[in-house]
Amino acid sequence: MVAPVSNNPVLINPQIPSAPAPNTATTVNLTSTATVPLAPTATKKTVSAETERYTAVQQSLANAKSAVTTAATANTKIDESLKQVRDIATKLADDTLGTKDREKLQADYQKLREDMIKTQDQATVKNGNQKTNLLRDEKALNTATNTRGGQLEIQSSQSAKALALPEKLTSAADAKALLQGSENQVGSLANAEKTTRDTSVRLKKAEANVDQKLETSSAVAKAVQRLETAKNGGVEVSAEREQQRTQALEKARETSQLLKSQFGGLSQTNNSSGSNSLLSLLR
Amino acid sequence: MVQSTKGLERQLLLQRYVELEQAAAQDDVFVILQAVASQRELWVTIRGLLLDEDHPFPSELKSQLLELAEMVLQQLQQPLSDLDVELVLAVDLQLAEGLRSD
Repeated sequence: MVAPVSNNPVLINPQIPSAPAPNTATTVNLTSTATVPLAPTATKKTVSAETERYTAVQQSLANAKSAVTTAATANTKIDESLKQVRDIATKLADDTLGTKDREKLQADYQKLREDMIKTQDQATVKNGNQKTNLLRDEKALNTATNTRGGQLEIQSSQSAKALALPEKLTSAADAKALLQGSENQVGSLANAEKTTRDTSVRLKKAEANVDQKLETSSAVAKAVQRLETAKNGGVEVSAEREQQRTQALEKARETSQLLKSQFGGLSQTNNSSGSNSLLSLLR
Repeated sequence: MVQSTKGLERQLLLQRYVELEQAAAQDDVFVILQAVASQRELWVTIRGLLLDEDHPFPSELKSQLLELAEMVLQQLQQPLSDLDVELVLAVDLQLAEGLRSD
């Protein structure tokens, strides 16, 4: 039997703590929660396995969202750099440009190109030992979308370093070639711009897709949890309840107090699978 | 010296707290995105552990932790411009405080 969810009143405190918060704001009776509830053993194993599978799906989707968001941010930055490259190349294409001006613009171009490479590298997101870069990776990212083995494939742009733009624009002719190349010509500015536009469209679609799958997966996981809790004669966990910011902080303080009274930590579980392991996240 | 599980979990919470705090202080969107990704990974894992009915915490504590996890994960779903970093940091810190084993 699962004990009812707490309806303890919470204190309103608009302050955000910048250091470990004082332990004075509790309204919780610690002794009332000190015993471990006994639940029917027969259904427990099924619940554990199922909730663990849903968690693994949500971990996978959360990681995919991080990879997509980071790649989209990098792509936007690259798009801005390409506009500056066009501006510089247009000036460099002028045959009458003085030597000093040309040298300065050439240096500006090289700096922009280096920044683009850096930005491409910054699109890498680390999740445990896995690194994902949806701009440069050669392989697509596969993410689990449900517990039945459903997968969502998120393609990488597989972009070349600096979108294959030339390292230097040493002459007006180089600048003209960069500007005049067609969208299909690798190394042309038009080709780089097209790649960036395509990436933007693709990542927007992927993000919407991941968000939708994440939402569905969370809703399904909650529904399963509700059903299973009800099946065990308990009261459902009110995870959907919207909390005000101040209430959330108060809740965090209350929870901290309750947690202090526990001998063991969060990682106590009978699951043998590593997908939920908290301590494995330690660096 | 061998640390307790609670001590190691506290260390993890503080690691992620510091990562996000330092990221938020920098003017580098990619550093912030990585820190947000790390927070997401942390809180999804915490939620997963607590959804397990085998978990021995009292149900009230589990409910409260799950509510916190949901709230933090909702925050982490927001675009960076809407993300309440201070709130996430405050919750991290409170949880770390609760794991103090002195």
